[in-house]
Amino acid sequence: MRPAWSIIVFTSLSGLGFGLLFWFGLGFVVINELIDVILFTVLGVMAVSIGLMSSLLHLGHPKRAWRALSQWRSSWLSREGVCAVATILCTFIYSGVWYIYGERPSALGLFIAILSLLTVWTTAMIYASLRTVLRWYHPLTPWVYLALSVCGGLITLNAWEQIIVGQSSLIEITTIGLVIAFGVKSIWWKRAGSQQSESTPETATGLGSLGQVDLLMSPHTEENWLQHEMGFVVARRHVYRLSQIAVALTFILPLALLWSGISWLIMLIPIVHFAGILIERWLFFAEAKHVVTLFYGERH
Amino acid sequence: MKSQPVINTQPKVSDEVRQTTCYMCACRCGINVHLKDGDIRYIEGNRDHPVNRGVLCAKGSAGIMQHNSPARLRAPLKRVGPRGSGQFEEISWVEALDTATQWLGDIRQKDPTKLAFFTGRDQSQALTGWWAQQYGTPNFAAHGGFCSVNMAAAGIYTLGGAFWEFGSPDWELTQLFMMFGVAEDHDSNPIKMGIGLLKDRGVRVISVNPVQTGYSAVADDWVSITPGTDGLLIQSLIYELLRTNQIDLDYLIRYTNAPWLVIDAPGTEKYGLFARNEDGDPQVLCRTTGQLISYRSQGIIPNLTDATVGPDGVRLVSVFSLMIEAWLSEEFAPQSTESRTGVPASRVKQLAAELAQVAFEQEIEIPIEWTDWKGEKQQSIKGRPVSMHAMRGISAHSNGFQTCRALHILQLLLGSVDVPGGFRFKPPYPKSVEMHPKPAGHANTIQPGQPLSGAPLGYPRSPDDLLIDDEGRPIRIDKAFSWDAPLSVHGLMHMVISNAHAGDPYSIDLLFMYMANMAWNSSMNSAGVIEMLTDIDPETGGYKIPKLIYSDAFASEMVAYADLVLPDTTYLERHDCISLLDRPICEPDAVADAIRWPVVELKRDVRGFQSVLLDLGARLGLPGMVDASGAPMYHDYADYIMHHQRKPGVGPLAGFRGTGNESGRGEPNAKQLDAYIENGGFWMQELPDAARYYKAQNADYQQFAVEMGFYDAPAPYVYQIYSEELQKFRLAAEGFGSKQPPEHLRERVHQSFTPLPEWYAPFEGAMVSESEFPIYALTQRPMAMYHSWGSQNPWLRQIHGHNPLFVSSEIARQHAITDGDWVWVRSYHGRIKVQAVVMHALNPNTVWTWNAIGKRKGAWQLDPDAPEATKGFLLNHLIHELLPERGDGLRWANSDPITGQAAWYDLKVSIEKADPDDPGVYPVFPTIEAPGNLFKPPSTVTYGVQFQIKKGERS
Amino acid sequence: MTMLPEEPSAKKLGLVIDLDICVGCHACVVNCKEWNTGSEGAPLSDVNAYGAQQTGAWLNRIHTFEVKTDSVAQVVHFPKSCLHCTDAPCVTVCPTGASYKRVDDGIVLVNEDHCIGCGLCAWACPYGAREMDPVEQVMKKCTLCVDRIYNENLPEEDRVPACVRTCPTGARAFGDLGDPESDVSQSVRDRGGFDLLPEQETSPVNKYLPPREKRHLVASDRSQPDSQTELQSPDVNGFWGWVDSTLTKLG
Ligand SMILES: Nc1nc2c(c(=O)[nH]1)N[C@H]1C(S)=C(S)[C@@H](COP(=O)(O)OP(=O)(O)OC[C@H]3O[C@@H](n4cnc5c(=O)[nH]c(N)nc54)[C@H](O)[C@@H]3O)O[C@H]1N2
Ligand SMILES: Nc1nc2c(c(=O)[nH]1)N[C@H]1C(S)=C(S)[C@@H](COP(=O)(O)OP(=O)(O)OC[C@H]3O[C@@H](n4cnc5c(=O)[nH]c(N)nc54)[C@H](O)[C@@H]3O)O[C@H]1N2
Ligand code: SF4
Ligand code: SF4
Ligand code: SF4
Ligand code: SF4
Ligand code: SF4
Ligand SMILES: [Mo]
Repeated sequence: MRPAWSIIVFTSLSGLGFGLLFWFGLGFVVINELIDVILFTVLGVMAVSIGLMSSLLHLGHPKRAWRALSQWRSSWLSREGVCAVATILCTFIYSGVWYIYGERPSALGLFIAILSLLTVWTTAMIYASLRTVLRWYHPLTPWVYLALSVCGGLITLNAWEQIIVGQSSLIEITTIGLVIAFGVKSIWWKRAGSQQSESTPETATGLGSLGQVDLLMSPHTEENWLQHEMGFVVARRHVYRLSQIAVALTFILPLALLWSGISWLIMLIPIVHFAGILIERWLFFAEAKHVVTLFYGERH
Repeated sequence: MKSQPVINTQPKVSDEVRQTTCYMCACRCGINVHLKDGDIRYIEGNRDHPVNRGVLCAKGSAGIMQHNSPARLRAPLKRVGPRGSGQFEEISWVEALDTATQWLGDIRQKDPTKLAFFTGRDQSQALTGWWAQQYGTPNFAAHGGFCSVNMAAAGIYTLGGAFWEFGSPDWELTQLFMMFGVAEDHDSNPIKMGIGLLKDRGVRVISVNPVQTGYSAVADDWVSITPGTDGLLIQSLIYELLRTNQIDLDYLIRYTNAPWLVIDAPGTEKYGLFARNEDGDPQVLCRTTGQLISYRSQGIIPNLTDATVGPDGVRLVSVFSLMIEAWLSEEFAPQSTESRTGVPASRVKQLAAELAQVAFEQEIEIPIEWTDWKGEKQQSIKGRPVSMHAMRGISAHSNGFQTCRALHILQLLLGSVDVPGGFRFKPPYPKSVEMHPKPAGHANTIQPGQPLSGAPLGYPRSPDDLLIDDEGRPIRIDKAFSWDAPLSVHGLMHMVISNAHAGDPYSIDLLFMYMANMAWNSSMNSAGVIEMLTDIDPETGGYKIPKLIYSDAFASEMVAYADLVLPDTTYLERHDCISLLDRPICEPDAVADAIRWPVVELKRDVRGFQSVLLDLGARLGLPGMVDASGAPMYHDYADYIMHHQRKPGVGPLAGFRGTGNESGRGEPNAKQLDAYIENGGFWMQELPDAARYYKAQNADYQQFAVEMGFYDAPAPYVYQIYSEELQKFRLAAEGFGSKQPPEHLRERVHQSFTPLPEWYAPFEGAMVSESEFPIYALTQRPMAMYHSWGSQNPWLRQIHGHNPLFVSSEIARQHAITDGDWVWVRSYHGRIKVQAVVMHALNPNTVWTWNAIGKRKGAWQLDPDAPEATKGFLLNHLIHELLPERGDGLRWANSDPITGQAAWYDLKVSIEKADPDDPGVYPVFPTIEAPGNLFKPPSTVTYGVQFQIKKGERS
Repeated sequence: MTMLPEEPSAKKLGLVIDLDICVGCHACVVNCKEWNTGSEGAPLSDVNAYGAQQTGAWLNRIHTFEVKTDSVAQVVHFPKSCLHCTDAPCVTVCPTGASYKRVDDGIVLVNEDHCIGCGLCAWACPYGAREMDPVEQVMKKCTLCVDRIYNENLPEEDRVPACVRTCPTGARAFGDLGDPESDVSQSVRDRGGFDLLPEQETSPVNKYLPPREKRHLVASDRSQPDSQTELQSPDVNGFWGWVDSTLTKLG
């Protein structure tokens, strides 16, 4: 699949944002002054919104995007939209109440935390529900999204605490988060990546009973939209190198920095981690093969 | 669930439908052009039309895009830069016509042979040929010479008609269909419809072709043959049929010259000619009386087996016995031919067995009474349901003429020509060779300012009919009808430029061309031709070919080489007629012709070429084009179509003559075109039942043909298995007669003009080293693209934007070639670098590519970096118009020695992997500038947006 | 609307494509483009129309495959357009409801006025049957010529999809695959019609008919004629004997 930047940014940034809102809802965020509530809200909602906006860039008709909220009964993309909007609205109420009354409405907070997770889940399910992309169509896919989102939130909270109170209280739990996320992602890499596709050029054409089927002539000599969108191929060696970098940036380096003892470095971790996430997402798309490519001469 | 959107399932398709004839290729299908607000909304096939019965191919369906092509020429052009630069100035029609008239007029008064008028893919040859005749130049031909003249000529000389417009398989009744070397053919839609029908009926389809695509892919049996060896395969099939005694003797006796007696007196001037009686009738030996008797005599069974002695004491043998002698020889046994043809002996035997089985066990009998040419009443019509079709795969070889003849003889042995279930003629064919005119333009007949005595093209029947001067030198610029190519009945368009450039046989002053992209895909050795067109004569300082007028509708590669460009209309903007005098659209059971008419408004300053030609003719005062006062006879082509008469009562269109109710013959009708338009753009009349089969020998048909005006008196004949015409040329080579081939050609003529077809190895393969150039290289027609002119079409060029070289898996293995590799392909003449794709369903020794996809940078209003120019290529750069030099220092044309047919498919090459670090095609030519006045090509096309009423609502 | 109809429609209009007949001529492809570019929806536009990387939106495409069989390789031309799946994943993923499957006849359509051009439906379709219009940026797909098949402005015989009407070989048939008695259903039964990518569980309505078995030459008894007529070696005398006896029969 073509790794479109708008979609990479969308899933990474909104994932991070909802991770923040998750912790925010649970009340994990250290607040010095009440204005910090507003600040954090802005931070979380910004991440989410920029992400969502970026996804709009991907649309042919962004002005009609509101229609995408209508089909929550069947469409994960629609559900994602509904959940995202609900989370943002609730967050506004939550922080408004908190700011005005000086007290965190914890029940609503819990609700926001759940909504955030749900939103991330729905985002992931947009991909994980596509049978056509075997690599995504794996029960672990939404867990990866969840783990990375929650973990990204934690990492960012560390930095936030560092800034607001000059120290972080979340190093251990962040470590656990990172290890779990790394674990989930690693298992996904191994499992999702090694699935054997039932679909082959033979099943695609129904000609398998006659023999091995290979493409001789494409319907068009230059690349078309389908191939551009779904026929993206990335060289093996690039995949290997990039996944190493992704693991280093997303997990290893953050862990190292976390335990480096140099406290200001903690403020850098979100950046490093996020850079890793971007590469991870790039690979998530670039490595995924769409079944339609079977009609264009690929064999999965 | 919310209710679903209400959609308009009842849109009004168009304001008006206009019915005309497609010309996205030469198939001439009927089309319904739907117009909405003056624009073309949709083009579909005309269901009533005899050619396509409603279907439409990819090209036809892309007509809208062709009609709107930015490469359309907009006004007459005068060259201002050097030839080939593409620099032109727009001029008025007044200036254009004045210039052309002056050039043409001067030459006509001085020496009309200094004009070469060649008209490419011309569908108005009845007009253009007549124009050349009236002008007085013998130098006229259309594209047949480089296309498929072997097929056409072999058909006429043998049967009185070939495939395509001459006839077709009996799709309804045939039980076995065998196809040789067909990728697409002119009969593009009808063949597909036919194959579809056969498949529905479960009829077996066999395709003999080195490549398995298209028709071959759906065939029940694909026979992968070594290119150039079909003649051998066919003779092996004949051998098998003879060996197993499975031939239609009755048919051979009645309808062919098999029983005719041939003079067996080697070394005499009569050797191999027919034994004729005083009336000139060939004779047969009567089985009961033992007497020689005219073949026309009723009720005789000839003796086929015994030789006899003629009145003058010479030995006479039947054609049939010569056939047996020739073909029942071990040389043609399947096991003797398999190594050359690549078709295993067992398969040849099976094929022959199948042909025989279907022909003789599934005989058809239709209870229709008819009268044969001898006047004998026949109670029924017998048919042998084996049909054949062939095209350029056997035709475009230097042994193509004889291969095509062999195929016709195979059909005759099976008794399946013009019979139910077999191959059937389409009126006005069959017509024996005798009924065709001979070529006009003999040495003493060409006079300045005078018309030619007859049509420039025709069918020579003996060396006397050749157009050569007293020294035996060719009279025509293309050397047609000379010893180089005695039966070049379509001329040799592919030799015009190189001969004119070489001044051999002479130089010319003006090359006038229409509708042929000779600076590119229709030339062999395109790069060489480009040089010839631009080469300067050191003596005059001018071009070696001093003047060049060209008519095209689009900015093709060729336009850049013209001095004066006469821009044509597109097919939807002009009048045309698809005439019985030319290449008709008849069906086996019906006579038909058709028109084109301007179905859309013309918005450029261009004119229909035929109208321009008539205008020029009038300006030159050509007879028939001006009246007694010197005023133009016709104000345009439409006027000519309706009013011109070839002979009294017979004109370009056969329908709606006279008062509008007369067919075939009748006075001109000023409302004729309206009647055609009213009738859907065509006219058709069914044949009477008794006239449908055995047309050449059917008195009922002959009567019908005379009524229709095909000819003036019944002209029945029998098919010529043995060709006396060929033997006459052979005798000349043996030293008889006043016209004999020059020494350097004597042996070649003797070898090739065999009265019964013989196979010889294609010339190029025989001349180059087998180890150096072991591979055959072919092209095929892509079904969705028409030669060079499809690439300007934004829809079609998405399907074929460039062409790979398909390489057999064997060759790929030998040279470690994988898909996408760049390879060097070399012939004795040149080399190209192209991208390869490996293919398994391909003859092991063969590579092939799609024809004419490669484009010159800058042509056709395509970006110079369009894939057609950066990845696409022509095989033509490897093919030379001359064969390698021979021992005697002379070079033969790369053509069939009999007809001059260009031997495109004789090409032999070698292949070698190219340096992967240096990709890209070779050769690449400098970009040609497009004429400045063309439309700018838009980068996006959103055709149809104009039909959206509520456009604003979407966003 | 983005939900599939609760009950699959009884009427299932679709195409049956005969791989035994298709010669790969692309007539259906271009005629489809031609019909639909002038239809009510956005035109099927083309970009770089005269340049490099030319591409555009099409609703039907012909692939050509080579099948390596036990004997000779076989080339198969393979038309592909929307299969109007009963369990169409392209419909359920659509967030806007622009994609829907018609309750009445099962045709899968896109309401272009509602389409946001997210492309998700094309990702969900295993067959590559949806293409984004490069100019209008809405999703295009085969409409089964819904503006032809019911169109009373057209003569009755023309109320079939453009691709079906134009196909020169008759390799495409249109009909109701929900009706077991329809011609198309019957041919599917008779010829062993099959689904593409059945494991994707889309239950396509369109079916494909396989290339018929290449009937290799039946060893005909005529290739081994009985000893009376056969000439073991090309024996001219024997041949003449046969000619003589045949001529006697004729006379
Ligand atoms: N390698 C290889 N080369 C081949 C062949 C092959 O098999 N292999 N085949 C050969 C054969 S059989 C043929 S017939 C030739 C064909 O080759 P050409 O005769 O060159 O045919 P086209 O490319 O169709 O070009 C004809 C010209 O007609 C112009 N034209 C199109 N429509 C109109 C119109 O309405 N009016 C006018 N005035 N002009 C128009 C086009 O723009 C184009 O310039 O190619 C030959 N070349
Ligand atoms: N779509 C489309 N239709 C066209 C044209 C076009 O450009 N596009 N061009 C038109 C013109 S001008 C012409 S002349 C006709 C030509 O119509 P065809 O004769 O059908 O066309 P070619 O592509 O020349 O096909 C030649 C076939 O012969 C095979 N072949 C080559 N050598 C041999 C051989 O030695 N033996 C056998 N058995 N087969 C051999 C090739 O593999 C190929 O399949 O098509 C006409 N129709
Ligand atoms: S075969 Fe196609 S391009 Fe040729 S005339 Fe017919 S519809 Fe037109
Ligand atoms: S029009 Fe018919 S034969 Fe041609 S590609 Fe389409 S389905 Fe195949
Ligand atoms: S073929 Fe693709 S677009 Fe058509 S209904 Fe099935 S899934 Fe949807
Ligand atoms: S591209 Fe249009 S039709 Fe497809 S899923 Fe998105 S909104 Fe629906
Ligand atoms: S049914 Fe209509 S829209 Fe669908 S492929 Fe055929 S022509 Fe195109
Ligand atoms: Mo041709």
